[in-house]
Amino acid sequence: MSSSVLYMSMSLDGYIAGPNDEPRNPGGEGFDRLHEWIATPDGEYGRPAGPAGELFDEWNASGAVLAGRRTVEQVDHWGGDHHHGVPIFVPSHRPPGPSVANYPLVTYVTDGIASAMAQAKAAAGDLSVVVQGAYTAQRALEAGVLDELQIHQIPVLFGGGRRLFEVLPSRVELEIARVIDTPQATHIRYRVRR
Amino acid sequence: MRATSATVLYMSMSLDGFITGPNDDRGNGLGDDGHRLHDWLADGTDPVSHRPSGVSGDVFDELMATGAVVAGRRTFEIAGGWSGDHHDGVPIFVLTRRPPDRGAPDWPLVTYVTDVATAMARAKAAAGDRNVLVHGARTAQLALAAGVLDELEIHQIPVLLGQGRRLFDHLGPDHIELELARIVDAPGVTHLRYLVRR
Repeated sequence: MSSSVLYMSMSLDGYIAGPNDEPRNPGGEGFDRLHEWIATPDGEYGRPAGPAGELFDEWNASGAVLAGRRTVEQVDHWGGDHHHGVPIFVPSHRPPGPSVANYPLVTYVTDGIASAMAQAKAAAGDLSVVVQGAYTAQRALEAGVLDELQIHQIPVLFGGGRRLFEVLPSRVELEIARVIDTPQATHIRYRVRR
Repeated sequence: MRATSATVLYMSMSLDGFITGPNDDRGNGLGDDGHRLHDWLADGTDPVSHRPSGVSGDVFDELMATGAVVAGRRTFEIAGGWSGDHHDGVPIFVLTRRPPDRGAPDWPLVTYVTDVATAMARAKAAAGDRNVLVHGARTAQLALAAGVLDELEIHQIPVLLGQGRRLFDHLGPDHIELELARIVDAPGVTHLRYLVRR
């Protein structure tokens, strides 16, 4: 059965974006520092060598994407295709912007995170759903529709920016599923306990 | 780690960055649910020493082999001053801007210090070639800002507490680069050891 997995690169102090994170400056200042680990041996953006490469393969093998509005608008919906033509679901109460008319893979879901996740899981079939975005992750946790967290923990203290986890209304117990230790990042996979 | 004495922050932290739950005040020092962060210490077979079993026991042994302690006033008071002896009679330096309370116990191992750089320097001198154990969020923040924290040992707990007191706050906008020195993948806790790069 399909499971929903949040993939986020996060500094040790909990930030997933730097200060002044806005569409003209996606990810804010210093954002690239959190994603240096996603680099080929030649230093280009792409599949890393070694065990981190398996993570890259995992998210490229997912069957649908569920991402927050802020995330998708900053990258203009990845030009309509996140990877391999899988469908992209965006939970939002407001109607989509004009570019979305050109992106048949992108669906805006207006009736809440649980509905968006159900549609993404149905579309993914046996494959997993990649979840992206801090706000979306928090809402999915609150609604009990996030199954796993794949955190790429980066050895840096950002000191400011946008946090992955702001205040949550209640405690959420996790289970450590897997730890991948590389010099650039600590990749920890957690299962959400219910 | 390093050849000479290092100042090492030891703190248990939830994945969402909290070191206490909400409502942490006197009488409820760890906050609501805050004890959850220290369950890994209760996993032990020895109820007196609190030494956990398995690989977490090795991390615990390192902590208890330190030669001096630097703790924030708040941490010190929540812990009841460890009754004047954290472990093995090593000196304890308490970072505070306020003088000790009237009637505070006169513990010979305990020294109150007002400045973080002085606290670290005195603790290192006292520890000799052993490391210095650092405890407390505010103390860690001040030590990072002053450039006198050498290493971090974060016991990362698989829980989102949702609210509470954060370990890393008020750090200012400059990045502090770390170097991952070691990971201990233990049941119920991930021990992350970092060197602070300068």
